[in-house]
Amino acid sequence: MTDTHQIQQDLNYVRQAVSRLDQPRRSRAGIYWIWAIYVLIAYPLKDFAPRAAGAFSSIGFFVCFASSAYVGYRYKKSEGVKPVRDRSGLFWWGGTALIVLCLIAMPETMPALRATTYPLLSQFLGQLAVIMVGIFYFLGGVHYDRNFLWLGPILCACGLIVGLVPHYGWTALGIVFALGLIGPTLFAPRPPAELPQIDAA
Amino acid sequence: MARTTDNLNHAASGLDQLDALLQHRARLGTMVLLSTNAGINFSTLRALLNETDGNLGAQLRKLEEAEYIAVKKEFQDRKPVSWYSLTTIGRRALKAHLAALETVVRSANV
Repeated sequence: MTDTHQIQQDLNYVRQAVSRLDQPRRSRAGIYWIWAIYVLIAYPLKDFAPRAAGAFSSIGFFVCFASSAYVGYRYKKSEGVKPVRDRSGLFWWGGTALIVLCLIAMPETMPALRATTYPLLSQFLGQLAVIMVGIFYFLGGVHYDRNFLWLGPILCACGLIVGLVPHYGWTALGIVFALGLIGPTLFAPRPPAELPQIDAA
Repeated sequence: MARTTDNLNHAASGLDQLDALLQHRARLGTMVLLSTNAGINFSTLRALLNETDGNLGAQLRKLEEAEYIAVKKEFQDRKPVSWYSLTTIGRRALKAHLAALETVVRSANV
């Protein structure tokens, strides 16, 4: 059946074009640098100025989130594509919103937590946040960026052991987190500026 | 035997429902690429589809004339850039075409 054979060839051509659209042609390093700077300030603050850490983390988080969303949009546009609310947007926005909501709601829903002192509550929620972020990054590695496959488990481990470190544990965690974000971008090969050729058949 | 005849009839009805305008692979490719994005510029479409300027321009003009896609000219670094997007008519046509294609492919595979 010649018509169906032709249709199959055309669909193969379209499939290849779509798969090429998914290949990044510019490095996303800018987004990772934004978050690396954030964690390098936010986590050490928990050691050096615990009272300021909460306010900085909250405000800085939303500033970084909006900045990275804007940078991501600019990257896409410079690649010749204006994205709609896509799958990756749902993943990062939705996942982050769920983590934040759970952290806010947790002290309200657990009576034992409400009875604890502020430093203990802060320590618990901080560690829990790191573990949740680690799991979230691991899932990000599965779907989007392979480097997060190992950064996620490292963050989970850091979230568990940071409470055991007597001094500057959060500072060390911030450094590890920042290195995990920007390290791979320093050594990664540059994405090709031009798209590879399509098999015409 | 009866089942084979049914499949052939099914495939034939699917072929009849295909949109003639979307039977060219560059036009179909353009529509599919635009269906998942708010807009794609001309040079990116050309690179993604591996078409020449002239051929892609001609195919896009046909889609534009059928009001399947819309074009918007913008200046980026003082250079004119044409951004293409799918219209509601185009999205509906693509959906119907893909449904017909699915019928044909299923009938051929069974």
